[in-house]
Amino acid sequence: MAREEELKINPEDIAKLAEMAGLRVEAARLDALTARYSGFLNELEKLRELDINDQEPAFVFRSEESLP
Amino acid sequence: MTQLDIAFQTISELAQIIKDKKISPLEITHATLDRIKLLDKKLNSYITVMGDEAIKTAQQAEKDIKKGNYKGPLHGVPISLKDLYNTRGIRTTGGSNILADFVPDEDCTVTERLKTAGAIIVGKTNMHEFALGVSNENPHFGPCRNPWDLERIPGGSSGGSAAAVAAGLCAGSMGSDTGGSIRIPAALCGIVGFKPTFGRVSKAGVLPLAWSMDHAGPMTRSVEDAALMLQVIAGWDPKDPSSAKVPVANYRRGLKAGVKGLRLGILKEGFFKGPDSEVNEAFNKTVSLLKNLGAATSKASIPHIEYTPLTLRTITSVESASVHEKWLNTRPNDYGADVRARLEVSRLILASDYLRAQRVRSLIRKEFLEALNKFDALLVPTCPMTALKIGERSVKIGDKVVDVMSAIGPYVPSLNLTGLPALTVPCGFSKAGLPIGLQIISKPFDEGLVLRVGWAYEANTDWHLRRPPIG
Repeated sequence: MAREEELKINPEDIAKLAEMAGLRVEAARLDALTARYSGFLNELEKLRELDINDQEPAFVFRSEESLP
Repeated sequence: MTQLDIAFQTISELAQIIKDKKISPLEITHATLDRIKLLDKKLNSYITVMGDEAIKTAQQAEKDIKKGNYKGPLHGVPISLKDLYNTRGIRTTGGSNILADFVPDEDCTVTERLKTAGAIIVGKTNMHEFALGVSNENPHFGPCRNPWDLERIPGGSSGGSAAAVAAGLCAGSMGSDTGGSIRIPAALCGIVGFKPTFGRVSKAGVLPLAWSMDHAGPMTRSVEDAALMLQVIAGWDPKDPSSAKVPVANYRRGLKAGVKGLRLGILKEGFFKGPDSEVNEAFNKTVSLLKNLGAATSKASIPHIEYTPLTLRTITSVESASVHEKWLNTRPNDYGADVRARLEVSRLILASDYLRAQRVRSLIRKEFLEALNKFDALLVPTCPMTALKIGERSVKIGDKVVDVMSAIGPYVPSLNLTGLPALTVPCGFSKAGLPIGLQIISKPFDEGLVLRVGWAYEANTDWHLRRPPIG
Protein backbone atom coordinates (compact mmCIF):
# COMPACT_ATOMS: atom_id res chain seq x y z
CA MET A 1 0.00 0.00 0.00
CA ALA A 2 1.41 3.39 -0.97
CA ARG A 3 1.95 6.06 1.65
CA GLU A 4 -0.35 9.04 1.40
CA GLU A 5 2.08 11.52 2.87
CA GLU A 6 5.72 12.17 2.12
CA LEU A 7 8.03 10.13 4.28
CA LYS A 8 10.05 12.26 6.68
CA ILE A 9 13.33 10.87 7.98
CA ASN A 10 15.51 12.32 10.71
CA PRO A 11 19.25 12.68 10.26
CA GLU A 12 19.65 10.70 13.49
CA ASP A 13 17.85 7.73 11.90
CA ILE A 14 20.09 7.95 8.87
CA ALA A 15 23.15 8.07 11.11
CA LYS A 16 22.05 4.80 12.73
CA LEU A 17 21.19 3.20 9.41
CA ALA A 18 24.51 4.27 7.91
CA GLU A 19 26.35 2.85 10.88
CA MET A 20 24.54 -0.48 10.48
CA ALA A 21 25.46 -0.45 6.79
CA GLY A 22 29.10 0.13 7.68
CA LEU A 23 29.23 3.68 6.33
CA ARG A 24 31.24 6.46 7.91
CA VAL A 25 29.27 9.67 7.41
CA GLU A 26 30.67 12.85 8.94
CA ALA A 27 28.15 14.95 10.90
CA ALA A 28 28.54 17.81 8.45
CA ARG A 29 27.33 15.61 5.58
CA LEU A 30 24.42 13.98 7.37
CA ASP A 31 21.72 16.48 6.41
CA ALA A 32 22.59 16.26 2.72
CA LEU A 33 22.59 12.45 2.81
CA THR A 34 19.26 12.45 4.66
CA ALA A 35 17.66 14.75 2.09
CA ARG A 36 18.96 12.67 -0.80
CA TYR A 37 17.90 9.36 0.73
CA SER A 38 14.45 10.66 1.70
CA GLY A 39 13.94 11.92 -1.84
CA PHE A 40 14.82 8.55 -3.27
CA LEU A 41 12.62 6.63 -0.83
CA ASN A 42 9.68 8.86 -1.72
CA GLU A 43 10.31 8.20 -5.40
CA LEU A 44 10.40 4.47 -4.72
CA GLU A 45 6.77 4.70 -3.64
CA LYS A 46 5.89 4.73 -7.35
CA LEU A 47 7.31 1.23 -7.76
CA ARG A 48 5.54 0.04 -4.62
CA GLU A 49 2.20 1.02 -6.15
CA LEU A 50 2.63 -1.36 -9.09
CA ASP A 51 0.91 -4.72 -9.18
CA ILE A 52 3.77 -7.11 -9.97
CA ASN A 53 2.50 -10.25 -8.27
CA ASP A 54 2.85 -12.33 -11.43
CA GLN A 55 6.35 -11.07 -12.22
CA GLU A 56 9.54 -12.86 -11.27
CA PRO A 57 12.72 -10.84 -10.87
CA ALA A 58 14.82 -10.48 -13.99
CA PHE A 59 18.40 -11.49 -13.41
CA VAL A 60 19.83 -13.13 -16.46
CA PHE A 61 18.16 -13.35 -19.83
CA ARG A 62 18.59 -16.60 -21.70
CA SER A 63 20.55 -15.82 -24.83
CA GLU A 64 18.31 -17.96 -27.02
CA GLU A 65 15.20 -16.05 -25.89
CA SER A 66 13.41 -14.17 -28.66
CA LEU A 67 16.11 -14.47 -31.25
CA PRO A 68 15.35 -12.64 -34.48
CA MET B 1 45.51 15.21 -47.77
CA THR B 2 45.55 17.82 -44.97
CA GLN B 3 45.39 17.07 -41.26
CA LEU B 4 41.78 18.31 -41.28
CA ASP B 5 40.85 16.02 -44.19
CA ILE B 6 42.34 13.03 -42.37
CA ALA B 7 40.62 13.99 -39.12
CA PHE B 8 37.11 13.71 -40.51
CA GLN B 9 37.50 10.65 -42.71
CA THR B 10 35.24 7.85 -41.59
CA ILE B 11 36.71 4.48 -40.70
CA SER B 12 35.43 3.01 -43.96
CA GLU B 13 37.03 5.86 -45.96
CA LEU B 14 40.33 5.50 -44.10
CA ALA B 15 40.23 1.74 -44.60
CA GLN B 16 39.93 2.18 -48.35
CA ILE B 17 42.86 4.58 -48.70
CA ILE B 18 45.01 2.56 -46.32
CA LYS B 19 44.25 -0.62 -48.24
CA ASP B 20 45.03 1.14 -51.53
CA LYS B 21 48.29 2.42 -49.96
CA LYS B 22 47.33 6.03 -50.73
CA ILE B 23 48.14 6.94 -47.14
CA SER B 24 50.10 5.17 -44.44
CA PRO B 25 48.93 4.35 -40.90
CA LEU B 26 51.88 6.37 -39.64
CA GLU B 27 50.74 9.55 -41.46
CA ILE B 28 47.23 9.09 -40.06
CA THR B 29 48.52 8.49 -36.55
CA HIS B 30 50.78 11.55 -36.64
CA ALA B 31 47.91 13.68 -37.96
CA THR B 32 45.63 12.41 -35.17
CA LEU B 33 48.19 12.97 -32.42
CA ASP B 34 48.94 16.47 -33.76
CA ARG B 35 45.24 17.28 -33.74
CA ILE B 36 44.86 16.02 -30.17
CA LYS B 37 47.79 18.24 -29.17
CA LEU B 38 46.20 21.21 -30.92
CA LEU B 39 42.64 20.90 -29.68
CA ASP B 40 42.45 18.80 -26.56
CA LYS B 41 43.54 21.60 -24.26
CA LYS B 42 40.14 23.10 -25.03
CA LEU B 43 38.12 19.90 -25.12
CA ASN B 44 39.78 17.76 -22.41
CA SER B 45 38.49 14.63 -24.09
CA TYR B 46 41.52 12.46 -23.23
CA ILE B 47 42.84 11.41 -19.83
CA THR B 48 45.85 9.62 -21.31
CA VAL B 49 47.25 10.05 -24.81
CA MET B 50 49.24 7.01 -25.91
CA GLY B 51 51.55 8.81 -28.35
CA ASP B 52 54.62 6.54 -28.25
CA GLU B 53 52.62 3.32 -28.26
CA ALA B 54 50.42 4.57 -31.10
CA ILE B 55 53.41 5.50 -33.28
CA LYS B 56 55.08 2.14 -32.61
CA THR B 57 51.90 0.26 -33.56
CA ALA B 58 51.43 2.42 -36.64
CA GLN B 59 54.99 1.66 -37.78
CA GLN B 60 54.27 -2.04 -37.43
CA ALA B 61 50.96 -1.66 -39.30
CA GLU B 62 52.76 0.13 -42.11
CA LYS B 63 55.30 -2.70 -42.40
CA ASP B 64 52.57 -5.36 -42.34
CA ILE B 65 50.50 -3.64 -45.01
CA LYS B 66 53.55 -3.12 -47.22
CA LYS B 67 54.23 -6.84 -46.96
CA GLY B 68 50.65 -7.57 -48.03
CA ASN B 69 49.38 -8.55 -44.59
CA TYR B 70 46.35 -6.25 -44.56
CA LYS B 71 44.13 -7.25 -41.63
CA GLY B 72 40.87 -5.52 -42.51
CA PRO B 73 38.99 -2.22 -42.12
CA LEU B 74 40.41 -1.26 -38.71
CA HIS B 75 44.04 -1.86 -39.71
CA GLY B 76 45.95 1.37 -39.20
CA VAL B 77 42.88 3.29 -37.99
CA PRO B 78 43.14 5.52 -34.86
CA ILE B 79 40.72 4.39 -32.15
CA SER B 80 40.32 5.58 -28.56
CA LEU B 81 38.96 3.77 -25.51
CA LYS B 82 36.93 5.13 -22.63
CA ASP B 83 39.25 5.03 -19.65
CA LEU B 84 37.57 1.98 -18.13
CA TYR B 85 38.79 -0.54 -20.72
CA ASN B 86 41.87 -2.26 -19.36
CA THR B 87 45.00 -1.63 -21.41
CA ARG B 88 48.14 -3.59 -20.66
CA GLY B 89 50.89 -1.29 -19.36
CA ILE B 90 48.73 1.85 -19.70
CA ARG B 91 46.93 3.29 -16.70
CA THR B 92 43.18 2.80 -16.59
CA THR B 93 41.65 5.27 -14.18
CA GLY B 94 37.89 4.88 -14.54
CA GLY B 95 37.95 8.67 -14.36
CA SER B 96 38.70 8.33 -10.66
CA ASN B 97 41.30 9.29 -8.13
CA ILE B 98 41.07 5.82 -6.61
CA LEU B 99 42.45 4.19 -9.78
CA ALA B 100 44.65 7.12 -10.81
CA ASP B 101 47.75 4.92 -10.78
CA PHE B 102 46.22 1.59 -11.77
CA VAL B 103 48.19 -0.02 -14.59
CA PRO B 104 46.61 -3.31 -15.75
CA ASP B 105 48.77 -6.35 -16.53
CA GLU B 106 46.43 -7.43 -19.33
CA ASP B 107 44.31 -5.96 -22.08
CA CYS B 108 40.58 -6.45 -21.76
CA THR B 109 38.96 -8.60 -24.45
CA VAL B 110 37.75 -5.59 -26.48
CA THR B 111 41.21 -3.98 -26.46
CA GLU B 112 42.73 -7.31 -27.47
CA ARG B 113 40.25 -7.77 -30.35
CA LEU B 114 40.78 -4.21 -31.61
CA LYS B 115 44.57 -4.67 -31.52
CA THR B 116 44.31 -8.00 -33.31
CA ALA B 117 42.29 -6.26 -36.03
CA GLY B 118 45.16 -3.78 -36.42
CA ALA B 119 43.56 -0.72 -34.79
CA ILE B 120 45.92 1.95 -33.47
CA ILE B 121 44.91 2.77 -29.89
CA VAL B 122 45.67 6.50 -29.53
CA GLY B 123 44.46 7.09 -26.00
CA LYS B 124 42.08 6.71 -23.10
CA THR B 125 39.17 9.12 -22.99
CA ASN B 126 37.71 11.25 -20.23
CA MET B 127 34.55 10.06 -18.53
CA HIS B 128 32.23 10.77 -15.64
CA GLU B 129 33.90 9.45 -12.49
CA PHE B 130 33.37 5.66 -12.42
CA ALA B 131 30.72 6.14 -15.17
CA LEU B 132 28.26 7.24 -12.49
CA GLY B 133 26.68 10.29 -14.14
CA VAL B 134 25.82 11.98 -17.41
CA SER B 135 27.55 15.38 -17.33
CA ASN B 136 31.21 14.32 -17.57
CA GLU B 137 32.13 17.07 -15.10
CA ASN B 138 34.99 15.06 -13.71
CA PRO B 139 36.35 16.39 -10.38
CA HIS B 140 39.73 14.69 -10.81
CA PHE B 141 40.59 15.21 -14.50
CA GLY B 142 38.47 18.28 -15.24
CA PRO B 143 35.28 18.62 -17.26
CA CYS B 144 35.18 17.38 -20.81
CA ARG B 145 33.60 19.95 -23.14
CA ASN B 146 31.19 19.64 -26.04
CA PRO B 147 32.92 20.47 -29.35
CA TRP B 148 29.74 22.18 -30.61
CA ASP B 149 29.80 24.63 -27.70
CA LEU B 150 32.67 24.56 -25.23
CA GLU B 151 30.47 25.96 -22.47
CA ARG B 152 28.29 22.86 -22.61
CA ILE B 153 28.58 19.28 -21.42
CA PRO B 154 29.25 16.53 -23.96
CA GLY B 155 26.92 14.21 -22.01
CA GLY B 156 28.18 11.10 -20.32
CA SER B 157 29.40 9.02 -19.00
CA SER B 158 31.33 8.32 -22.24
CA GLY B 159 31.64 12.07 -22.88
CA GLY B 160 35.34 12.06 -23.75
CA SER B 161 34.78 9.39 -26.40
CA ALA B 162 31.90 11.33 -27.95
CA ALA B 163 33.77 14.65 -27.92
CA ALA B 164 36.92 13.08 -29.39
CA VAL B 165 35.02 11.38 -32.23
CA ALA B 166 32.94 14.50 -32.99
CA ALA B 167 36.03 16.74 -33.08
CA GLY B 168 38.07 14.37 -35.25
CA LEU B 169 40.53 13.40 -32.49
CA CYS B 170 40.12 9.72 -33.42
CA ALA B 171 38.11 7.82 -36.02
CA GLY B 172 36.09 5.82 -33.53
CA SER B 173 35.94 5.11 -29.84
CA MET B 174 34.69 2.51 -27.40
CA GLY B 175 32.13 3.68 -24.85
CA SER B 176 30.16 1.89 -22.20
CA ASP B 177 26.45 2.21 -21.46
CA THR B 178 24.73 1.37 -18.15
CA GLY B 179 21.84 3.83 -18.40
CA GLY B 180 22.49 5.65 -21.67
CA SER B 181 26.20 6.42 -21.34
CA ILE B 182 26.99 5.72 -25.01
CA ARG B 183 23.77 7.05 -26.51
CA ILE B 184 23.40 10.27 -24.51
CA PRO B 185 26.86 11.71 -25.29
CA ALA B 186 26.69 10.46 -28.88
CA ALA B 187 23.39 12.33 -29.36
CA LEU B 188 24.60 15.50 -27.63
CA CYS B 189 27.81 15.54 -29.69
CA GLY B 190 26.20 14.69 -33.05
CA ILE B 191 27.72 11.26 -33.65
CA VAL B 192 26.60 7.63 -33.93
CA GLY B 193 26.53 5.56 -30.72
CA PHE B 194 25.59 1.90 -30.54
CA LYS B 195 24.62 -0.08 -27.46
CA PRO B 196 24.39 -3.66 -28.75
CA THR B 197 22.31 -6.41 -27.10
CA PHE B 198 23.33 -7.39 -23.56
CA GLY B 199 25.89 -10.16 -23.96
CA ARG B 200 26.85 -9.31 -27.55
CA VAL B 201 30.17 -7.62 -26.66
CA SER B 202 32.47 -8.89 -23.93
CA LYS B 203 32.94 -6.83 -20.79
CA ALA B 204 35.82 -8.91 -19.46
CA GLY B 205 38.42 -6.44 -18.22
CA VAL B 206 36.04 -3.48 -18.37
CA LEU B 207 35.53 -1.70 -15.04
CA PRO B 208 31.95 -2.52 -13.98
CA LEU B 209 29.32 -0.08 -12.79
CA ALA B 210 26.26 -2.38 -12.58
CA TRP B 211 26.75 -5.95 -13.77
CA SER B 212 23.27 -6.54 -15.12
CA MET B 213 23.07 -3.21 -16.96
CA ASP B 214 26.56 -2.62 -18.35
CA HIS B 215 27.07 -2.78 -22.11
CA ALA B 216 30.14 -2.08 -24.25
CA GLY B 217 29.74 -0.52 -27.68
CA PRO B 218 31.21 1.65 -30.44
CA MET B 219 30.94 5.42 -31.02
CA THR B 220 31.65 6.60 -34.57
CA ARG B 221 30.97 9.24 -37.22
CA SER B 222 28.86 6.95 -39.42
CA VAL B 223 26.56 3.97 -39.10
CA GLU B 224 28.77 1.90 -41.36
CA ASP B 225 31.70 2.59 -39.02
CA ALA B 226 29.64 1.36 -36.07
CA ALA B 227 29.01 -1.84 -38.02
CA LEU B 228 32.73 -2.21 -38.78
CA MET B 229 33.75 -1.79 -35.15
CA LEU B 230 30.99 -4.07 -33.88
CA GLN B 231 32.11 -6.76 -36.32
CA VAL B 232 35.50 -6.84 -34.65
CA ILE B 233 34.43 -6.71 -31.00
CA ALA B 234 31.24 -8.84 -31.07
CA GLY B 235 31.07 -12.48 -30.10
CA TRP B 236 31.18 -14.87 -27.20
CA ASP B 237 33.97 -14.58 -24.67
CA PRO B 238 34.53 -17.31 -22.09
CA LYS B 239 36.10 -14.70 -19.78
CA ASP B 240 32.77 -12.84 -19.46
CA PRO B 241 29.97 -14.80 -17.73
CA SER B 242 27.33 -12.50 -19.23
CA SER B 243 28.63 -13.02 -22.77
CA ALA B 244 26.14 -14.69 -25.13
CA LYS B 245 26.89 -17.68 -27.37
CA VAL B 246 24.93 -16.25 -30.28
CA PRO B 247 26.33 -16.26 -33.83
CA VAL B 248 27.62 -12.91 -35.09
CA ALA B 249 26.13 -11.78 -38.40
CA ASN B 250 28.00 -9.97 -41.15
CA TYR B 251 26.83 -6.47 -40.26
CA ARG B 252 27.97 -4.85 -43.48
CA ARG B 253 26.08 -7.30 -45.69
CA GLY B 254 22.51 -6.19 -44.99
CA LEU B 255 23.38 -2.61 -44.12
CA LYS B 256 22.14 -0.96 -47.30
CA ALA B 257 18.91 -2.96 -47.73
CA GLY B 258 16.74 0.10 -46.98
CA VAL B 259 13.59 0.41 -44.88
CA LYS B 260 10.96 -0.31 -47.52
CA GLY B 261 8.32 -2.55 -45.99
CA LEU B 262 9.70 -2.36 -42.45
CA ARG B 263 7.21 -1.72 -39.66
CA LEU B 264 8.46 1.07 -37.40
CA GLY B 265 6.78 1.77 -34.07
CA ILE B 266 6.82 5.33 -32.77
CA LEU B 267 7.09 5.49 -28.98
CA LYS B 268 4.95 8.37 -27.83
CA GLU B 269 3.49 7.57 -24.44
CA GLY B 270 2.18 10.32 -22.18
CA PHE B 271 5.55 10.00 -20.46
CA PHE B 272 7.18 11.52 -23.53
CA LYS B 273 5.76 14.98 -23.11
CA GLY B 274 9.16 16.33 -22.15
CA PRO B 275 10.92 16.91 -25.49
CA ASP B 276 11.60 20.52 -26.24
CA SER B 277 9.93 21.75 -29.39
CA GLU B 278 13.08 21.59 -31.52
CA VAL B 279 13.70 17.95 -30.58
CA ASN B 280 10.06 17.15 -31.24
CA GLU B 281 10.17 18.83 -34.64
CA ALA B 282 13.37 17.03 -35.64
CA PHE B 283 11.91 13.70 -34.51
CA ASN B 284 8.66 14.22 -36.42
CA LYS B 285 10.60 15.10 -39.59
CA THR B 286 12.70 11.97 -39.12
CA VAL B 287 9.62 9.79 -38.90
CA SER B 288 8.19 11.44 -42.06
CA LEU B 289 11.42 10.80 -43.94
CA LEU B 290 11.50 7.12 -42.99
CA LYS B 291 7.87 6.87 -44.06
CA ASN B 292 8.75 8.45 -47.42
CA LEU B 293 11.51 5.86 -47.78
CA GLY B 294 8.87 3.13 -47.64
CA ALA B 295 8.60 2.19 -43.96
CA ALA B 296 5.19 1.71 -42.38
CA THR B 297 4.99 3.81 -39.23
CA SER B 298 2.44 3.75 -36.43
CA LYS B 299 2.24 4.42 -32.73
CA ALA B 300 3.76 1.82 -30.41
CA SER B 301 2.94 1.39 -26.75
CA ILE B 302 4.96 0.31 -23.73
CA PRO B 303 2.40 0.81 -20.94
CA HIS B 304 4.87 0.87 -18.03
CA ILE B 305 7.65 2.80 -19.73
CA GLU B 306 7.36 5.71 -17.33
CA TYR B 307 8.74 3.44 -14.60
CA THR B 308 11.96 2.71 -16.45
CA PRO B 309 14.23 5.51 -15.12
CA LEU B 310 13.36 4.75 -11.48
CA THR B 311 13.65 1.00 -12.03
CA LEU B 312 17.05 1.41 -13.64
CA ARG B 313 18.20 3.79 -10.94
CA THR B 314 17.23 1.38 -8.16
CA ILE B 315 18.98 -1.61 -9.70
CA THR B 316 22.05 0.31 -10.83
CA SER B 317 22.38 1.99 -7.43
CA VAL B 318 22.40 -1.29 -5.54
CA GLU B 319 24.76 -3.04 -7.96
CA SER B 320 27.15 -0.07 -8.00
CA ALA B 321 27.10 0.06 -4.20
CA SER B 322 28.24 -3.55 -4.23
CA VAL B 323 30.94 -2.87 -6.84
CA HIS B 324 32.23 0.02 -4.71
CA GLU B 325 31.72 -1.49 -1.27
CA LYS B 326 35.38 -1.93 -0.43
CA TRP B 327 36.56 1.48 -1.64
CA LEU B 328 33.62 3.28 -0.06
CA ASN B 329 34.63 1.73 3.25
CA THR B 330 38.35 2.32 2.95
CA ARG B 331 38.79 5.42 0.74
CA PRO B 332 35.57 7.47 0.91
CA ASN B 333 37.42 10.78 0.68
CA ASP B 334 38.99 9.79 -2.65
CA TYR B 335 35.60 9.97 -4.39
CA GLY B 336 34.22 13.18 -5.84
CA ALA B 337 31.46 14.60 -3.63
CA ASP B 338 28.59 13.77 -5.98
CA VAL B 339 29.59 10.19 -6.73
CA ARG B 340 30.31 9.50 -3.06
CA ALA B 341 26.87 10.79 -2.07
CA ARG B 342 25.21 8.65 -4.76
CA LEU B 343 27.02 5.54 -3.57
CA GLU B 344 26.19 6.21 0.08
CA VAL B 345 22.48 6.52 -0.70
CA SER B 346 22.78 3.33 -2.76
CA ARG B 347 24.13 1.42 0.26
CA LEU B 348 20.94 2.17 2.17
CA ILE B 349 18.43 0.84 -0.36
CA LEU B 350 16.42 -2.15 0.87
CA ALA B 351 16.86 -5.56 -0.73
CA SER B 352 13.08 -5.78 -1.17
CA ASP B 353 13.14 -2.56 -3.24
CA TYR B 354 15.94 -3.96 -5.39
CA LEU B 355 13.94 -7.13 -6.03
CA ARG B 356 10.80 -5.13 -6.70
CA ALA B 357 12.73 -3.21 -9.35
CA GLN B 358 13.94 -6.49 -10.85
CA ARG B 359 10.33 -7.64 -11.09
CA VAL B 360 9.25 -4.39 -12.74
CA ARG B 361 12.15 -4.95 -15.11
CA SER B 362 10.62 -8.29 -16.16
CA LEU B 363 7.33 -6.56 -16.84
CA ILE B 364 8.95 -3.84 -18.96
CA ARG B 365 10.96 -6.37 -20.94
CA LYS B 366 7.81 -8.37 -21.71
CA GLU B 367 6.10 -5.23 -22.96
CA PHE B 368 9.03 -4.37 -25.23
CA LEU B 369 9.16 -7.89 -26.66
CA GLU B 370 5.41 -7.77 -27.29
CA ALA B 371 5.79 -4.45 -29.10
CA LEU B 372 8.64 -5.91 -31.15
CA ASN B 373 6.35 -8.75 -32.26
CA LYS B 374 4.29 -6.09 -34.01
CA PHE B 375 7.16 -3.90 -35.20
CA ASP B 376 10.58 -4.49 -36.73
CA ALA B 377 12.02 -1.53 -34.86
CA LEU B 378 10.97 1.19 -32.45
CA LEU B 379 11.88 4.87 -32.69
CA VAL B 380 12.17 7.54 -30.00
CA PRO B 381 14.30 10.69 -29.57
CA THR B 382 17.56 9.78 -27.82
CA CYS B 383 17.40 12.78 -25.46
CA PRO B 384 14.49 15.17 -24.92
CA MET B 385 16.81 18.19 -25.07
CA THR B 386 20.15 19.37 -26.42
CA ALA B 387 23.36 19.69 -24.37
CA LEU B 388 23.08 21.59 -21.09
CA LYS B 389 25.58 24.14 -19.83
CA ILE B 390 28.47 22.95 -17.68
CA GLY B 391 27.49 23.51 -14.06
CA GLU B 392 23.73 23.24 -14.57
CA ARG B 393 22.41 21.03 -11.79
CA SER B 394 18.70 20.94 -12.55
CA VAL B 395 16.27 21.61 -15.36
CA LYS B 396 12.68 22.85 -15.36
CA ILE B 397 10.38 20.57 -17.36
CA GLY B 398 6.80 21.82 -17.31
CA ASP B 399 6.13 22.71 -13.68
CA LYS B 400 8.72 20.27 -12.30
CA VAL B 401 12.38 20.87 -11.49
CA VAL B 402 14.38 17.70 -12.16
CA ASP B 403 18.04 16.77 -11.82
CA VAL B 404 20.24 16.68 -14.92
CA MET B 405 20.37 12.89 -15.14
CA SER B 406 16.57 12.55 -15.09
CA ALA B 407 16.16 15.44 -17.52
CA ILE B 408 18.57 14.19 -20.19
CA GLY B 409 18.06 10.47 -19.91
CA PRO B 410 14.40 9.40 -19.70
CA TYR B 411 14.32 7.61 -23.08
CA VAL B 412 17.48 5.54 -22.80
CA PRO B 413 17.37 3.36 -19.63
CA SER B 414 14.63 1.03 -20.87
CA LEU B 415 17.18 -0.48 -23.26
CA ASN B 416 19.59 -1.26 -20.44
CA LEU B 417 16.76 -2.82 -18.44
CA THR B 418 15.66 -4.92 -21.39
CA GLY B 419 19.10 -5.52 -22.92
CA LEU B 420 17.77 -4.65 -26.39
CA PRO B 421 20.07 -3.20 -29.06
CA ALA B 422 19.74 0.58 -29.49
CA LEU B 423 21.49 2.93 -31.90
CA THR B 424 21.55 6.72 -31.89
CA VAL B 425 22.14 8.66 -35.10
CA PRO B 426 22.20 12.43 -35.63
CA CYS B 427 18.76 13.64 -36.77
CA GLY B 428 18.94 17.42 -36.62
CA PHE B 429 20.34 20.53 -34.99
CA SER B 430 18.76 23.16 -32.77
CA LYS B 431 18.76 26.82 -33.80
CA ALA B 432 21.70 27.25 -31.43
CA GLY B 433 23.65 24.70 -33.48
CA LEU B 434 23.43 21.81 -31.02
CA PRO B 435 22.94 18.22 -32.21
CA ILE B 436 19.79 16.12 -31.75
CA GLY B 437 19.70 12.30 -31.85
CA LEU B 438 17.27 9.63 -33.02
CA GLN B 439 17.20 6.30 -31.19
CA ILE B 440 16.45 3.06 -33.06
CA ILE B 441 15.62 -0.11 -31.10
CA SER B 442 15.07 -3.69 -32.19
CA LYS B 443 14.88 -7.31 -31.04
CA PRO B 444 17.58 -9.08 -29.03
CA PHE B 445 20.67 -9.79 -31.13
CA ASP B 446 19.18 -8.17 -34.23
CA GLU B 447 21.90 -5.51 -34.40
CA GLY B 448 21.80 -5.83 -38.21
CA LEU B 449 18.25 -4.48 -38.39
CA VAL B 450 19.06 -1.52 -36.14
CA LEU B 451 22.08 -0.65 -38.27
CA ARG B 452 20.02 -1.06 -41.45
CA VAL B 453 17.41 1.49 -40.32
CA GLY B 454 20.15 3.85 -39.12
CA TRP B 455 22.05 3.60 -42.39
CA ALA B 456 18.91 4.24 -44.47
CA TYR B 457 18.18 7.39 -42.50
CA GLU B 458 21.80 8.59 -42.56
CA ALA B 459 22.11 7.99 -46.32
CA ASN B 460 19.21 10.36 -46.92
CA THR B 461 20.33 13.18 -44.61
CA ASP B 462 23.51 15.15 -44.07
CA TRP B 463 23.46 15.81 -40.33
CA HIS B 464 26.37 13.42 -39.81
CA LEU B 465 28.51 15.43 -42.24
CA ARG B 466 28.38 18.66 -40.20
CA ARG B 467 31.56 19.58 -38.40
CA PRO B 468 31.79 21.27 -34.99
CA PRO B 469 33.18 24.82 -34.95
CA ILE B 470 36.14 23.87 -32.78
CA GLY B 471 38.52 23.73 -35.76
